[in-house]
Amino acid sequence: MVFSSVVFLYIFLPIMLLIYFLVPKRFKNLVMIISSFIFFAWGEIRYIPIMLILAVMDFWCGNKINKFWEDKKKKRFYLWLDVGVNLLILFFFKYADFIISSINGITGLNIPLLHIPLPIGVSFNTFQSLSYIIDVYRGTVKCEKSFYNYLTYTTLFPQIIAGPIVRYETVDEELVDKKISLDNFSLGMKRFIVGLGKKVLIANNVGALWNVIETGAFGEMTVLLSWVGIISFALQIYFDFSGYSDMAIGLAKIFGMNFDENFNYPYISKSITEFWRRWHITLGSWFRDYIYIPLGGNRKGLPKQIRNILIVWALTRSMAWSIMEFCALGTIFWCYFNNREIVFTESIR
Amino acid sequence: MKNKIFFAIFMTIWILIIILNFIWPKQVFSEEENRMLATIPRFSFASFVSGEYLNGVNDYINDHFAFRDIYLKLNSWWEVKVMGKKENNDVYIGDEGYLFEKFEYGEEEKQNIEENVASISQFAQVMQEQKIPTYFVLVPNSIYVNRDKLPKNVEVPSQKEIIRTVYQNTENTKNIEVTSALEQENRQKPVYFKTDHHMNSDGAYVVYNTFCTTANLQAVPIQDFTKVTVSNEFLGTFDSKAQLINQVPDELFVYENETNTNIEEAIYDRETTDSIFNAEYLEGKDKYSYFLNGNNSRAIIKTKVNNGRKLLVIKDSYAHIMAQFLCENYEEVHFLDPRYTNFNYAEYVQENGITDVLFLYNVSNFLTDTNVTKIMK
Repeated sequence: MVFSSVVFLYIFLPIMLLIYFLVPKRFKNLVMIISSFIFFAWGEIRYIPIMLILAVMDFWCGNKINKFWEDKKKKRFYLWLDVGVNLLILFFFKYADFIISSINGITGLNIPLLHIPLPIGVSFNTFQSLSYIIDVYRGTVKCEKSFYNYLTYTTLFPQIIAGPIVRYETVDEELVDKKISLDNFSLGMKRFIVGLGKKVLIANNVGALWNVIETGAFGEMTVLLSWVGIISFALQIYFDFSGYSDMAIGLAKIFGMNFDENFNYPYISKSITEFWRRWHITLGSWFRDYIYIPLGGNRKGLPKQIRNILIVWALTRSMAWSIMEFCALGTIFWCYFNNREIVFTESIR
Repeated sequence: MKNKIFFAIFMTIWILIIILNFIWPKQVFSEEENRMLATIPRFSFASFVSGEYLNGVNDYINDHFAFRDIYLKLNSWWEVKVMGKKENNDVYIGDEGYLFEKFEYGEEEKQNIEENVASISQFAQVMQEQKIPTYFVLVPNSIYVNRDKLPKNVEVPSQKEIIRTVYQNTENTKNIEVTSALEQENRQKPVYFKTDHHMNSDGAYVVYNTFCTTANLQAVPIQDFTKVTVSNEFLGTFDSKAQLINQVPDELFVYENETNTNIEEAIYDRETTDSIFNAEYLEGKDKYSYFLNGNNSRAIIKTKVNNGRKLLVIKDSYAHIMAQFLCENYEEVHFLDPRYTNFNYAEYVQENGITDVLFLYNVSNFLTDTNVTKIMK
């Protein structure tokens, strides 16, 4: 189900909100969990059990880490166990067929491909799980004692399509105490409408323009037409992603939760460095905080720094394919800038 | 305060639309779009897991949205008039008011052709053994014959080539090439409707004329008919699909003479009349059903021609408009549509004393229709 669909706007959302506002406080998370499951079921129902298993895994490992706080070895074991399982599932969905076809290609075997569709949310779910378990390990957040609340966090549906990535520390209080008010409802709804407009009125239409230009002959293209193409494409991916983020932030606000901002006028950036900080902010900071800096960032000498940059480059590249599967071309553009950006930033410093 | 006002206005509009959707009359058939609308899917565990059920719910809600027709028109107005697109909902908007449906010729179609050709060859062999000639006519579509009127940069595969290949591979039939004749006539006057996927009566005459030459029949000259316009308000299937506003309607006309207006009887699925035309359909949207009473599994026309010849036409709807000419030369003309029948056609031929068989299909349908194979079962 997408936010711009009739089913979502006129059936799913009104029913869900009605129930959500009517039930007593302690049941609100339950309404969110159930509606998230219905939301995912519309895309790929088979992913739900996996999601549940992952949630149990994260929750259990988080508590184990808390229990063995003094025992460094055990603590580390549970961290890697959870990270490993999460990554394994992500890579299974993303690369199983790729690996099978490679094996077939090399050995001449004929193992049938699995043709598993990539369920929506699998990447973002992984990002959220990893940020939780790593933060618990580092001690920056307390581990969640209630599985009910943790499940609410890990299944939150508004941001699952395109972000923003919600870290546990952003919402841990609101999982228990939601700030529901008429003001928040109105602000959230306005934000949602703005996002919907960005997506449907702007992104889809400039996207159609880009499609027309893109399918034409590149050789015969005039300079002006090329520029119109580039501009329409740039506008399409911006309004698409930021529209989705606005809708997610708006929905969260209606539910009484606050998500982080994800875009901050990226196209006014004066440098590629600045662009990196203004474009899909939560994704960039996720990679910075959980991959680049832990690996040593730029503080362990140039060879390691280049290695770190390359790792992030490879990861953003491969991850991005799944996050932005609905805009594959956008990804290339986006990765190109991300990659350039990191290399660039680091080399001018 | 501002938030309160927003809340009040927003909620009013939102709830109003939700209620309207809920109470909106649920149509079964859309006259405008000429198609059955989605029904509430039946729930089963299997269909739920496969996603079929929820997709069905999606379709149902989309098909019964309040003011749906107005939205469709608005959308096409935006796409075509404002954005200047030359296509809406897979229909190209060509020059001179012509609309065309996209024509695709890929692997799936090639596969289907093979199966259809095999069935026809097999059937024709059975006919040959009984000394009954089998004629085969593949009629090209408007998008090919009128390809000079397509929007810029839209290419259409050569249907002439496709027809030639099909003819080469079909055995035991007498194949009739009508494309060149249609193209030639089309330079003088339109042989297709502009808003519908069928040929008009001028096109039908060309096909009839060419058919007569091969079948050794005396074609009735066009001057011996009176051209009668039965409607000037015909907006066909392409128009329904594209949902355009201000589309100029087509003229619906027939060629009448003593023989085709004065037949013995016409037996259709649900009724028996004394005409190959049905004026009731001129009132509704689906005016092409004026010819041969629309889609019937079987239509038998008994004429006052006394020559003992009985023609079986195995066909799609392109043959309906041919009825007015075919009944000039046969005592009986039987039309069978494999899409709606489920019996062995060879037996039918024997039981009804058929003397000639004609396969008549349009290319686009022949490529996709999977029912042709049923005739040998």
